[in-house]
Amino acid sequence: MNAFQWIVLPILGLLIVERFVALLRGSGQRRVALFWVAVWIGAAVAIAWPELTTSIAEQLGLRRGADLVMYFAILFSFVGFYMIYVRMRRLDANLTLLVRKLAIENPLSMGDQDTSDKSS
Amino acid sequence: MATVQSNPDVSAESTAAPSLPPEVREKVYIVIPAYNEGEKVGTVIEEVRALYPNVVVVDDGSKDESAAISARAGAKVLRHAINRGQGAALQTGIDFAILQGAEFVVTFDSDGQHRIEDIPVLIAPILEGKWDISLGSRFLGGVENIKLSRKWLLRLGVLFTRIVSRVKITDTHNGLRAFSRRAAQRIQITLDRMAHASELIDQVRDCGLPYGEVPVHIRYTDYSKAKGQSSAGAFKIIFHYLFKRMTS
Repeated sequence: MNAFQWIVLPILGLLIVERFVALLRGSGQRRVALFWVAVWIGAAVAIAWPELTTSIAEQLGLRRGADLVMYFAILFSFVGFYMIYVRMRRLDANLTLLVRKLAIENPLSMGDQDTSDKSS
Repeated sequence: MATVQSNPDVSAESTAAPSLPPEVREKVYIVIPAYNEGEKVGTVIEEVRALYPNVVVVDDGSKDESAAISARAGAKVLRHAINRGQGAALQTGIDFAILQGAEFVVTFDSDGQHRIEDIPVLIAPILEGKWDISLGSRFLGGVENIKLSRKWLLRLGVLFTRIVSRVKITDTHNGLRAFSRRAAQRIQITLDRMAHASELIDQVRDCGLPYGEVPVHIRYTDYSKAKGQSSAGAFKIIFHYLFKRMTS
């Protein structure tokens, strides 16, 4: 094992254990925890046996395993951005519903405005 | 279940402005979204309330005195605790109007660019049972002091709507509209910010109720031009609208 593997593999091991513990405790979504376990195991395998990624890359028509990892990382990032954006839009929509509910439940009309001025 | 009209009437009405009897005007709710419009909103409300008693102002998290000024002018004011955008404000106002028993809901801008004379023009075809949704068109009516760049941008918006939404109307981003009660109940704006205008056209098309355009007049002033959307905002609107279409 080289120095990089000595440093990174234990970190990945800890991350895998942390997600497994979360899975066993039932905290968070099971599907999300399994996804991250798969990602960290994939990363650990690619670092521990770099020749494996090279052979997969060659079968896919790429020269180097590093290229394969890089392409996947870029793809993964875009999917991640998309998912975060969708989630953000959903949160935004829920926030609007909440703001709307509060507004409709507390209409202000003539005579109330003095109170509102003080509170704002 | 909505019945989809195969041939919605989108012809323009060019009759003289009708007047509405007081018993009808009492059933009309004018929804005015406002964000930092303290300078103008009071005058707009007073003008509208001279004929239409039910004015609902949705103060969209303004940092100025828009809410207090609107309340003093006699409007029912709904306050968004934080700014959520014009689309969100309109939906809040429409929901409230329905809860209050509105038979007709009119959306009206707070910056003084709309005329109250156009309200009966919008309501008349609904009252006659001709259609349920009246969309105001400045290109069938008239427009004062519009910048050439804005005019072309609006024309491009019309072209975009014709291609993407497949709806043949002459003015897609006009905030002056009227809905029957049942139409207002079917409209559900989900795009909070300016892209709501395009989403609304899709909902009008899909809600299964007849709709039509009526000529209205828009007066651009230095104030309304300063408050209006920048042309660069059009790209943001297109992005939000297309993203919504792709993900829903």
